[in-house]
Amino acid sequence: MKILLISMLLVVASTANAQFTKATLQASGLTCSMCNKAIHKALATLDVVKTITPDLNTNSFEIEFKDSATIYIDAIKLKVEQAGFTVSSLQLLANLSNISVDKDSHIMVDSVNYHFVNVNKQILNGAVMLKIIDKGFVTAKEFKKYSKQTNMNCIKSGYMEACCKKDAAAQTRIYHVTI
Amino acid sequence: MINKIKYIIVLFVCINSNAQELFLVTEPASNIPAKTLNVRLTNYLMNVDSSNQKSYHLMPELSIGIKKDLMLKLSLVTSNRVGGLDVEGYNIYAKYRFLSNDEVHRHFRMAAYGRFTKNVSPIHMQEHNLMMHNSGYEIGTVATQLFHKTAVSANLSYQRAINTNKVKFIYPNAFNSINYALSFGQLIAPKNYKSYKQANLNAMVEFLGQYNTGIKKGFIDVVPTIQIVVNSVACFDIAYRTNLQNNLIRSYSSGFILKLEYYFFNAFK
Repeated sequence: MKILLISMLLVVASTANAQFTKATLQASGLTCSMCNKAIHKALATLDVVKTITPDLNTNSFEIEFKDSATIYIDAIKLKVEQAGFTVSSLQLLANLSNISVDKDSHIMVDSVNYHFVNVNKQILNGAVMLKIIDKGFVTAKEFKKYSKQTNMNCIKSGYMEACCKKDAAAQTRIYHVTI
Repeated sequence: MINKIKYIIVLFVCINSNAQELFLVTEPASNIPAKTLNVRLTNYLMNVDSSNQKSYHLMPELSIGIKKDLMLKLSLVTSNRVGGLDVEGYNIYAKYRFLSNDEVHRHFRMAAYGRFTKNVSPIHMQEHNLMMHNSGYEIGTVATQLFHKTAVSANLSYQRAINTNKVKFIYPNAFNSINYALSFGQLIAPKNYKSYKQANLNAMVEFLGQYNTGIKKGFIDVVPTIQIVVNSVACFDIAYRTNLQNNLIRSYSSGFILKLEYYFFNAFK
């Protein structure tokens, strides 16, 4: 019973609310404006997107989300891939309220699991830029670099594994992020 | 021939700047985006090798981005061979991208493709022209390197002419051939992008070769192309195809090509 109570408390302690307001995305594998437009058009089909401001020279997109929208991070990546390209960087601006993080802490925010990689112990409050570092969200070279910053295997698959212990069931999506 | 190649390479280097891979004749390893339709209208005004006459072909094409790595292209072949503009055949082409190494402003990609064509035009040439004249099939692979705005693409394919109920391929030892191509593309303008509405100017050169493995003969053609991209959704290409080397009997080895192209992004769910 005691163990169950402690476990419940742990789950409550690591669950928090967040609101993503903006994203900065860079796509790779392209240079032309037509390819850039293909990505722009694909991203625009996401219901949560309010505005998209492209930079055709860097192939970056500033995405503004609708208020109170639930963001599916993998859906953003899927849209870029359907346009025929790859995400090389995705940073999300999140409004966080008193979220305590540490190196390799697993935090559930709005029912989504996040694994904070290579961060110091701190409390996140207000607007925080989270960089997604899962495979397919950064360049292959960067992914190799970030993979070395944690000993936990879940970074390789992007899913909960034995290394995640009791934080959640296996095969649950966990986004690896850094600040 | 060497002088011709030198002239083309010098011309190409002079207009050097940045580039693309939206080639006129060959397909790059990249596909059109998923859920996208691409409509092409290509006009071929070719010089008939055996006479001073011109031959006009009009090819409407529809490309469909089925998945991120799979596209399908359907082409209709029409020509003025018997007077008016008649439908002579069709092409079905599918391409699967099986390798994609993307980095910022560059990629290396590879794809495999297949083509099946049926055409009612009478055969009077050894050349295999699956785009416009022969019934047959082709399987091949393409590798494309994009480096900033410079694109280089290499194609290698095997093709076989086939007999149909209506038309026989009349050269019994010449059914099989190897096609090869090397394509270069560069963006000339703009130097810096400001909006999707800016027109893009691309210059391309494609070297197209065929070697008939049965009769051990072949040709090499070159196709310099100027391409204008409008509003990031439409392309207008003008090109002149000419022969560099040939010992095959062909229908037409030189002439003008004009292409209009339009992309419909998110055309279906």
